[in-house]
Amino acid sequence: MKQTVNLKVNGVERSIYVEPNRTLQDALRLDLEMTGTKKCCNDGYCGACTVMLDGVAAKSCLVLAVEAEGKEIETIEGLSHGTELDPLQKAFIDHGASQCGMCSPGMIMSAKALLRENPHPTKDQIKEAIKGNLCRCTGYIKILDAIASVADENEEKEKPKELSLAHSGKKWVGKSVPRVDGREKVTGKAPYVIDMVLPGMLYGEILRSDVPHARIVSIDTSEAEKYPGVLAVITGKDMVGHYGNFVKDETGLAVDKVRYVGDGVAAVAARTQEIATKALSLIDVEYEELPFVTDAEKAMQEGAPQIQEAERNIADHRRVVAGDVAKGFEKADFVYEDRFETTKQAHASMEPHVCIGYWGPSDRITLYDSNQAPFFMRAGISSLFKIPASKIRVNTPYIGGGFGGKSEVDAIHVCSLILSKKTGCSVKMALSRDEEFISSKTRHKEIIYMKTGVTKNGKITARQIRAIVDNGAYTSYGPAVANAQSMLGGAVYRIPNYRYDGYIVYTNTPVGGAFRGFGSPQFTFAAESQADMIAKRLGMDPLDFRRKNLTQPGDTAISGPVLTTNGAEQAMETAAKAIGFEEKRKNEAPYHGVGLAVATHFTSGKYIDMNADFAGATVKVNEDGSVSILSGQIEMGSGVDTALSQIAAEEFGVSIEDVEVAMNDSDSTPPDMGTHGSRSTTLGGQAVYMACQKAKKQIAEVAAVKLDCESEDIIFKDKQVVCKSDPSKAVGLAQLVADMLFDGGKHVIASAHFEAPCSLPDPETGVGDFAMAYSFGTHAASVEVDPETGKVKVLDFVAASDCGNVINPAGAEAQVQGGAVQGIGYSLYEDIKIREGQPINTRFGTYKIPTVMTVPPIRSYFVETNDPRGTYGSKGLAEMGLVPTAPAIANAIEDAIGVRIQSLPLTPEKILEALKEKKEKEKQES
Amino acid sequence: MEYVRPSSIKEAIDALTEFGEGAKLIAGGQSLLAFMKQGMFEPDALVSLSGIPELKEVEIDEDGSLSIGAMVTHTEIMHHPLILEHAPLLAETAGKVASTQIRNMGTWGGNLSHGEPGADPPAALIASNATVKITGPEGTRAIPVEDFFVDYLTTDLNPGEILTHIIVPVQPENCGTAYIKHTIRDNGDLAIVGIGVRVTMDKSRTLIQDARIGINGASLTTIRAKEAEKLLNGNVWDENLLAAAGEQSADACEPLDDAEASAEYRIKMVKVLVRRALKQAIDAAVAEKAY
Repeated sequence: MKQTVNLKVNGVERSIYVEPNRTLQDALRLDLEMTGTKKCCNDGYCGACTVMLDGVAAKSCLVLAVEAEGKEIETIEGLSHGTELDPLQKAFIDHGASQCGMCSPGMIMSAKALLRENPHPTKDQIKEAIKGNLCRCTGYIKILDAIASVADENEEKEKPKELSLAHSGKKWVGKSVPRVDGREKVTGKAPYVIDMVLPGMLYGEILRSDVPHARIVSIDTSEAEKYPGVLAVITGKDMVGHYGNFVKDETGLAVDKVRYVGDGVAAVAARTQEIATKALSLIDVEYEELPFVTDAEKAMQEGAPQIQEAERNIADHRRVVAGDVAKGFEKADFVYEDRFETTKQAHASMEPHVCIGYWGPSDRITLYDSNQAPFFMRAGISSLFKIPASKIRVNTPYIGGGFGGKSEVDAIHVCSLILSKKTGCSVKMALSRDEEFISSKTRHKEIIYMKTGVTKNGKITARQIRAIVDNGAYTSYGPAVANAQSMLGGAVYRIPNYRYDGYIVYTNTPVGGAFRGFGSPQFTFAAESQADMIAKRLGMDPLDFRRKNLTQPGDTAISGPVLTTNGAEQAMETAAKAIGFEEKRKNEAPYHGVGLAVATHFTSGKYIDMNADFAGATVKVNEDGSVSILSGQIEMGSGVDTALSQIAAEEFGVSIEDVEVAMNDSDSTPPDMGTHGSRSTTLGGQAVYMACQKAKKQIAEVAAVKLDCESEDIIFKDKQVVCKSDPSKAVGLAQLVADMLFDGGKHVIASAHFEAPCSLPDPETGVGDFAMAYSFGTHAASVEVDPETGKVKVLDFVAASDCGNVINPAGAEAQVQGGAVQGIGYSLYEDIKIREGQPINTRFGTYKIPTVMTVPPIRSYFVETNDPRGTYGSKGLAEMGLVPTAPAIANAIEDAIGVRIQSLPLTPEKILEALKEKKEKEKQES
Repeated sequence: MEYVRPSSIKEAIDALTEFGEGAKLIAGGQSLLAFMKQGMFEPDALVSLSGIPELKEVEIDEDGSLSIGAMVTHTEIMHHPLILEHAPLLAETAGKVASTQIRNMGTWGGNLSHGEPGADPPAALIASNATVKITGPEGTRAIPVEDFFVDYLTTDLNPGEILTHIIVPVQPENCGTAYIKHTIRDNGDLAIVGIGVRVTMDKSRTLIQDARIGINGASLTTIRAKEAEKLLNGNVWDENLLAAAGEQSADACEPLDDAEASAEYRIKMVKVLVRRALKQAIDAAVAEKAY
């Protein structure tokens, strides 16, 4: 029964009238419209909703509003006063501790509660205080540094070094500029779709299959339709067609049969989320269950259950054929074939997938969407619904993490638009955390057979790979993932003969999609584990084996990539030295080990069957001398808005405060393929750079007349437009642009399109220089293994990265730390486990992403190369951050205890099992 | 849903009885609300214990035993001077429960009443020979903690009954304790296995007078490893004896497979960690300051 609840929030008495089961979290967010308190999970695990109750930290989702009566409630909104920030909020900005920003308010509240009780905590006390706050972007290190800096004024954190661009005299690029979105995020004010409520908005929910494979016999929605507050119910019959970037096999809701636990079967739009959820329980689905298969190798066998219309469930086969592997193996002294297995990793972005769709009376669509690639979203919606793209507006504010998972049309988009068309209202659809794990995309699980021929001196003569890519029930980016790994797989080592066959195979499991690394982490786990295995078999030092085979600058890789710049070897040597590789290998304490792995990754690329890889930007210079950027890039936490601002500030000679990056709105932002594939700074930045040049030219032409000099002689410096050869001739940028506008009949605006210089792979051989640049990197880890429990502790971690010239060293370091920690999760914990077709760990409590307690010290080094194709010599970085992590740790474990684990994650159980086998083998041998 | 916040234990029992089967007690709410979010419980009524002052008390009873009210939070148990003095194992264990936010709100009364096998307090309480005081329509009774857990998420509480206090008797002299929590990630997780032990040594410092072993996470409920205790009691300790106690403890467990760990792994961990916990407790007992 509803009752009045009086809450004192940030010192102000507020009354709400709610059911007693209303949580404080919902009361704050929905009744009081204070969305700084976030909602990212449904099992009380993530801590994003942390507030203070009577001065101590509490998760507001685990407190009833009625039980908070009489308590002092403090939220993130109470920490700042207007533009005046709390010291913790300032520290989070200064240290770059906020990336996507979703965890920041809760994290700051936990830290605030700690500091109130204990103003000078130790690092361990800080860790304990934020242990219950999950972060998926930062890797926690900058968060710890930020809190420590407030706790101890003397705490001087070593600032990231200024690198080559800063040394070349640049003012903004190459510097660790604080993030331009920092203030919005640390105050809880940054806009996200998950926090948005539109007038008259309905809430949509999807009923999901609880069986892995079944024919839908009937769906009875009559009870749900009658339920008060329900406005529409839809099923597969309402779907409008098939979609998919490679194979059009998805429909939104299942039409004839369900293919995995989590497949949508019906959707409801209702006045409230509670009503929508209740209505789902009134829908009756009759299934005729079918045999199912969850293992990709078994799914390829004759007679396996048929999941889609595909022979032996093979959705696609991608390959690279270069040289002659048979001949290569003949030349080898030894040929080794090893089998590796990886897992389904969940993106686990803190903000779930969410959209608000509105289908207007003139068939004009508006979609607010947490999405990395709005331009693709618009194209996908246009093609599915047969509505001209120009009539679709995709609006994307900040997004609370993406990691690749928010880059395509999903069931929520399809359903929200169909439900909106039926009801005439906007319909918000958000995945719950369970749905995130069950029914959003995952990293493809793979089985990789890697056969490598080597001479007795350790030179590779040939490599052949057979990869079985577990597609899941539908095809998202599976074929492209195979493409990417096939070509990158040939680029780390000089391999004279190379063949890759990737089979993308349907199973009755969650769908594999795009995920940071895009095929590289799987391949690299196999390749770099095998590198150490081969070195050991040959009795070689693992560094020497790699030194003998690594590609070099200027090489064209066997699979096609032109490695104009290549810091692979330098990165390896840097990481090896920093971790103390050679000494540790020789003189190690028992059960301690050290390992490393080398990898490459692309900067965007043409791995799709479309000959395009572009970014776009529009730059406007305003009459006050400020610069506005319209970019097709999305700020999902990576720091792109900051990098783009640095570039514009550099080019126009203004301060970074004078640059504003507009929120992405497909009605006004230029075409751009979006933020994925490590492309935002390099490609998005290049588009901004080019647009700046055009705008500068417009200004320079006017300035030349005014200052009586050649337009080529005009430079932009210190907010002035200056004649370079005679600096006494100068005019303020603001003055000049204002004059142009009010007294010259001109405004300053320019748009640019950057098409990446790369090419599609050859359709026959699969060989191609498919990306504009290739980054390299090495991760090195030192670990301790408990031989009795099998538990692995990562003690020290080094990442050395070649991402070309670094535009923002602090931001780059943040990307590397965050990537490495995701990589540690991938190595040690993360795996969506399927038993009898059912996913069994679908919450943060059971699907373990790293917490602050699991994070080792991470030292980051940049091996700069000046890549001629990228903005200011930069290359992509974001994905490289996690590509070599898993094999580095696997190699360290092998060094520690002498057992080789060839499947991820590297769990204590597998380690104990391997130790047991090793002991038995040794016993037999003796 | 109905919600009431009675101000005495009697009123709470009356409310529970009146609402009947669909009612649930809410203590700190940290497990209950998580379960409600997941649809595991859909109570018609909540009876809150937050308005009953006596449930928030920590006191020394007349017989010298420690009485901890059901609404005392994990954080309070970590820091309360009486607990630190009389039952430091409980303070240590409370510090290993979940996260700061959960410890600030969650209570031991609520924790025990859920009967979650991977929870931390039960093993430490079994090791401490604690009892729980239960009051209901039929009056008040006290039972040992080890008898309180009946089955997975099921306790000995009858309809209308409330766990009001945890009673920890005076701890013997010359004893040492340990709580080892094993998880795959960090101790914010539920225990895969949690071992609480108390070992009381004789004056010789080599002979085990009395050992108590509680095991979380390795059966449908927390269990007491009585056979292993028997193996230890009255014997001079050595590594082999402790290892044997580990083996014996494992025999008493019937673990489940779940997303965290296999049953087989849990058994292995009981063997290893009982041995380690015993060693840690013995080391503490024979340390100079214990005498």
